[in-house]
Amino acid sequence: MENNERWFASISRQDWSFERRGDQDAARHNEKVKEIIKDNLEGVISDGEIITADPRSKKTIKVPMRSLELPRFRYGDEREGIGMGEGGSQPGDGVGDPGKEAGTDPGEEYYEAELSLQEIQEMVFEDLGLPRIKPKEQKDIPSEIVKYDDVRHNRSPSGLDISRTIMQNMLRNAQDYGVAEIKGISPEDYRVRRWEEDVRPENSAVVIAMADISGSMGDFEKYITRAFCWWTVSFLRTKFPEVELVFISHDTEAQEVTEKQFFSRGTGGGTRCSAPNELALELLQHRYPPTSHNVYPLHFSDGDNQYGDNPRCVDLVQQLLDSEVNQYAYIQIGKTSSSGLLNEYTKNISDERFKGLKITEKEGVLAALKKVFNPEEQED
Amino acid sequence: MSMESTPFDKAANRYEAEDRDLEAALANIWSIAEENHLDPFPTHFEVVPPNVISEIGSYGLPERYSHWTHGREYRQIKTMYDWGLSKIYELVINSNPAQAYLMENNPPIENKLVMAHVLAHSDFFKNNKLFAPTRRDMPEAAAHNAVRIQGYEEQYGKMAVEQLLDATLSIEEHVDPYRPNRPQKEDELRNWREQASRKRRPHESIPAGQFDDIFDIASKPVLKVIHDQHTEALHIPPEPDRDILGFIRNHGPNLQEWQRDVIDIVRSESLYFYPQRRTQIRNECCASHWHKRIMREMSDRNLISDKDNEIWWRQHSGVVAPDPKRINPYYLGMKMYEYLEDYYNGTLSAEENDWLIKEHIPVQPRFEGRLEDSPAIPALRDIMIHNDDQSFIRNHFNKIVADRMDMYIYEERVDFDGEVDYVVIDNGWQKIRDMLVSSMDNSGMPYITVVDGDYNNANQLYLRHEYEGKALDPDYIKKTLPYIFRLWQKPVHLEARSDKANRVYSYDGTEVSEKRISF
Repeated sequence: MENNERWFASISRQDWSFERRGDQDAARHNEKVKEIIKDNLEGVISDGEIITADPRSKKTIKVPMRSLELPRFRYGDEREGIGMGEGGSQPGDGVGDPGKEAGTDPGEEYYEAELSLQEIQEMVFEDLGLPRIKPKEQKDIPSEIVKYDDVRHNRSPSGLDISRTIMQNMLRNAQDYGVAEIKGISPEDYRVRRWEEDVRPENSAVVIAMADISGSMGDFEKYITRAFCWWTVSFLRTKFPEVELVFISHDTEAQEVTEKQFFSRGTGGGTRCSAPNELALELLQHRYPPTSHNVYPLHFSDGDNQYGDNPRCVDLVQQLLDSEVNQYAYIQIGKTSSSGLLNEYTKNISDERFKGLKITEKEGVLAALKKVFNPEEQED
Repeated sequence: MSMESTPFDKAANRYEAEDRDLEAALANIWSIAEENHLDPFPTHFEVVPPNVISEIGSYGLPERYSHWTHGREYRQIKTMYDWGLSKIYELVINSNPAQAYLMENNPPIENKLVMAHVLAHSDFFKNNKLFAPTRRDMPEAAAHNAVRIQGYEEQYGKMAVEQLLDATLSIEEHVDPYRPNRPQKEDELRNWREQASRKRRPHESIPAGQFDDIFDIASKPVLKVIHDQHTEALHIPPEPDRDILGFIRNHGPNLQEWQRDVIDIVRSESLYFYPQRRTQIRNECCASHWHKRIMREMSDRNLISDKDNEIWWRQHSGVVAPDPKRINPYYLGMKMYEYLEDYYNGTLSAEENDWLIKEHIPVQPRFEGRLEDSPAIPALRDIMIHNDDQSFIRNHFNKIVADRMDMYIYEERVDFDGEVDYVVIDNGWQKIRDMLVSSMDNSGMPYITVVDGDYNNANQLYLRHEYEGKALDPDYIKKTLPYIFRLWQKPVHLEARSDKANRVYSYDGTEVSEKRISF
């Protein structure tokens, strides 16, 4: 390289393996995306991909959203642009792929936020709880808790609790020499963690989910029932794994079914809403007496009940409330929600443990969940 | 190998042969560039892994401060790379010495093409007049800025800094490139007072008697106003001020020192990037032309194998491919350069010459000598030095270029089914030129000025969009005002004009209101 003195360019490499800045800032962007999704959860949670998934699966859900951008002063969207062809373009010629590219123009950046099912569940569960839950002493459920042993001699320090051991050492030194210092830690100072089985009373609870599967329940009604129940089930299974779930389907007759049947059955029959409530009352008497259980009946219907059955329903729900269920929720679903059964209930039942709700659109599921599982309603 | 050798040293040794090869090529590329009168900054190339090139590309500068918008960019660029959809070909920082990056997974021949390309950019940064006032020590300055911002994060909390940065970045383009060195608040106020008092006593420097009659006519009402101004406070700013960031930095009523510093950092970095926003086509014009020219020369000197020739030519064709729906600056730039070269060398087609004659543009004599002696080289250097994109297009775009690139204006049409079609509506070269030129006004950003920093006599901020035929998007006005409020901390107003209605949008800390006004 004889012209070494004249050229001023060089090449080098260095170790970049610790470079993380881009990833860190990308993580912050992702966090902000999640904040946005959290504010718009009602639009996300009824997604078909979610409510057909196994609640415990590790599935990721893609939520399409506009890429997060800082607002700035800008001109309105232009409908014209300049392009370049391969020769001979004339007015009237089509450009690009017709019909396919709506929404992919520059400035309309879409972003598919990827969230695990678990993350979405946590966002939803944050505001949910079991209302008016009371300790009931039927089952004693063993659970493991950590206890601290007293003084132990000649123990292997494998489960050593260091801070407690040091405290003990300082305490001993203070007693012996009048100075609280760390000095000469000996086995007599050892404080060791030990697992111990303890028993505590469990709030045993049961949710009785009753769904109308009659012919009048259309696709929308079934979809919402499914969405609501999916969230109910996954909420309880995650946060209150000890809670029992009972599933009842009904048309004019009610029947206890398995979870799988509950989510898949449909008939063409009529509707008698008193039927599941009768069955619920029966279950309360024989299997889940409210003295030893927190009981949450939950009924879904389009409200299109058999003529003359409404008074009977009111009567049964009142009986359920009188037998000390924690709450009774009736959820009426329908895009063109007629007054129906809900009207009858709200006219005749004044107990505040009765919750009558209406869901008229997909986005209403979250608000309904929050009302039914409102953790703030507790008895003193 | 010594005992101290780290795993990285071993990795470095692995690249030993490749780096020697790249260095040898660089020496040749550099001398060919010099023979062709290129004059780049000393340029340092660093070979980095793909994620690092994505990172520096998304931050714009190495070691720049941390912010989620950079993270968003990074994620997008990285995803595109990981999926094999696109990659950053070249990355060079405007600094002295220039700092450039090569991707370690690239075949060496691709990196050689990038080196040729980068030297042309470096030449452009060094010699184009618009870049003359930019800080050539920006990488160091940006690293210092990042350290200070990190310090503020530790002191005042990450959230406080992020919220301030969000607000500042939302108006980052609103700086005045012709007044980069804005004085600090006290000096600025003193200047303004002096200017105002000079205006107030215009005739003091003029001999008495001579022009009294003119003054009598001209200054009576003015004197009254001046008198009012004299007793009232100075109007701030005295003239509409497009440097919104600088104005807020100096006159924001409740800002703390560290907040002013953060605003100043964003402002100085925005000023640094301003010439790059103005010269994208110009920059790529030169770089695409020169990488092609230099690589051909390398090939002619048998410095590139046949196989490698095929690779770089394919890479080059990919970079300069036309796009049916938008302007590819590499392609447009290269084609403009080719045309101008043909024009100055007198090598246009007969048909093209006919058009020149019809338009009364002189046709240059045909040049037959060596490429290095071509009259096109000094002519194009002169154009390179004195033009930004807008003036370049205005001065040199014509029918010949438009035809060579088959350019057209298209329109978005939505049919009955809601499907979107794009249809060519015009291919007249003047219309295309005018549309290009007007799209480059103020780098495509709306021109907004501070009109009053003490609106309603209550320290409120009054901004105005200087309307030139295109209206602002009202949704974005409503979203942006709260961010400016975060900086100004008092009510903020924006006067937005359009050809239909004139409105003032206001944000008082709780909600955006709008009202119609008349002029």
